[in-house]
Amino acid sequence: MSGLFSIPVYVLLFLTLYFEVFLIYTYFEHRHSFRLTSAPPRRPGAHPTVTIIVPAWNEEHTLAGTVNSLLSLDYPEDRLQIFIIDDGSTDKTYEVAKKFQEPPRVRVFSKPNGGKHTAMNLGISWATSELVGCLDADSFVAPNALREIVRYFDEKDVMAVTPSVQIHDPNNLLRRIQSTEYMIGEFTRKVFSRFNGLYVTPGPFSIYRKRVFDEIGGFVHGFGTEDMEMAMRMQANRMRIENAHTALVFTVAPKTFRALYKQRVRWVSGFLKNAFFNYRYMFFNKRYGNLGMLTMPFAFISIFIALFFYGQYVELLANSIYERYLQYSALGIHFHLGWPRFDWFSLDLEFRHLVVYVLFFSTVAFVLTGIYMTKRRLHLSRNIVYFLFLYGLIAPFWLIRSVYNLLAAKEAKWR
Amino acid sequence: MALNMDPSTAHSKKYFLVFLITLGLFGVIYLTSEFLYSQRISQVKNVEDTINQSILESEIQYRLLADASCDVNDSGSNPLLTDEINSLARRLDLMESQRGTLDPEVINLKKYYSLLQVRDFLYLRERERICQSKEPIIIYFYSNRGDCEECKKEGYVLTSLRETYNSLHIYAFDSDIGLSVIETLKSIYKLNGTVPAIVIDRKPYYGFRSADEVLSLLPELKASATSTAATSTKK
Repeated sequence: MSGLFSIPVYVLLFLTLYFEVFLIYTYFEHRHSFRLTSAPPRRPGAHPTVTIIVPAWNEEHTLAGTVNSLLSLDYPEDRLQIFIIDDGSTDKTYEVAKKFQEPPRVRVFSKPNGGKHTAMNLGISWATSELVGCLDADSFVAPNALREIVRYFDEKDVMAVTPSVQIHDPNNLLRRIQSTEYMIGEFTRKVFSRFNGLYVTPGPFSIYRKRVFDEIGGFVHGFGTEDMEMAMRMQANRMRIENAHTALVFTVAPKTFRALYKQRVRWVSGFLKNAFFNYRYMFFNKRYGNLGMLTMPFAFISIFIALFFYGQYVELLANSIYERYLQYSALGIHFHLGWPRFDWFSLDLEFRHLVVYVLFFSTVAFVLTGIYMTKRRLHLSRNIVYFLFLYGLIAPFWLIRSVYNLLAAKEAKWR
Repeated sequence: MALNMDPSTAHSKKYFLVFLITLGLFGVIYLTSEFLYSQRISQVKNVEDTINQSILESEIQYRLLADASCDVNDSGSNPLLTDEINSLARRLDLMESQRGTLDPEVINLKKYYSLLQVRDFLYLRERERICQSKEPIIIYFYSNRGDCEECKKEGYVLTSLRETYNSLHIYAFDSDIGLSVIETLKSIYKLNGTVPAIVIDRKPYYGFRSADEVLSLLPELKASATSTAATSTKK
């Protein structure tokens, strides 16, 4: 890493370190907001009315679990309505949904397939409650999740509240990696919320004030990421989004690399396209506060930073493989007997490497904080090791594809 | 739950403060890196001084004993010293790969290391002459400029040979280091500048040589008494 690449490397390392310092600084600045205290009991009648919309498309296997978890919510029955919207499923989703039909508490709607945003909009058009939320039909809520979220709406300027999304039953390597990734999300989402920097209201159990939709309209396709587009539109309209880190929601994560790749390409492409084509004017615009000045530009640039460092990593790996090839061509198959000896000289302590070590350890700290916030104790598991050493190898695949999708995008007009 | 400042507002003061903290952190990391590097430099210098002292001791001991020392079953090098030189070579190699081939400190350490090798080589040659013995010796010239793949391959071969044959003496010189002693050696053996080049019995051989080819040039190697090599192999 010398010569031509030195200056970009220093700049990118500085930018990454700056952002991490900003997060850590904000964490210490608002440490009291990270407390794990439960929502205090509300007096009868003080519960806002809530409608939870469950858009479902071919979810016959997970829908029942999703609805059962909603029915088990610790929330007054007369203040909570559940709308199940079958979005033209071709399996038995509608039949499963009908079993739960119990108006007015649970209502089932069926419509021709039109995408999640259309299902959400149908539900919103029927909702009469003060708050409206969404729960994807492959997710489950903890019994106290709604209570934990609702307390944030006591502040009048809070327009939406996001939960803490976790992986349901991480039972294979990919899901274990994602499980740790979501722990980082737990920490960063909370930190972002401290400076109103959230740019996504995740499908699993984000709750909105009903008047948000009256004022800025319903969901749109948003390049396949309607939740991200909604959050960005809210931010563009100066609406505050909070995060309830104690409201746990569990979602079924992709099991195979193919499914994960597909999901992440949709997410990252959706972010890049929404940010670049529709909300680019917010970048470095003081009017949009920390979101415009910091979060969105950095989230955008970070994809390219990750790819840059991945390129460096691939170069190192290729050199190492080439060295092995040279060794083989010189000696044939060569075994070195004896125990490997550790020499501290082999540890690269050059400045740029030290910065990378610092970034690495701060990432570990974010993971541990996220774990503590979720599990209420420090739990060290092998999932962390899987994440730290394998995530960087798989993520570039969807990052590269997403950048390609952005560059090749034809459907959006450039502003 | 109330924020202590308006969360929607960009806080220039905070941005600047975080910038200063990041800059400070960058500074601390830089100073730490420089401190650790200087520690390594001084550690390498200490090893080189120890080696220098050991060679000097061997020379003096040899001169004190004069011809009698030929009877001692000793090929001229202290086994402990060999380990130190090998470790030194390995560390210099690591430092070079981490700091780059143009780092002035690394170049200085390599120059000193090269001088130590020449000194040991001269001592061994003198001992050969007086005792009329013959030691298996390879003088190896390489380049680390990055465009010499055969040098890397030859490095692997010579390292492997040194690990297999304790009595083999290999003196490795970076031909690009700009040391006059190395230039003198190159002119003594009439090298044409091609690397890798090995010199055995004053005869230069250019290009990559496999282990079998090198061994065929050193028939005395297997017959030689088991002893340790007084140097290491550099790629």
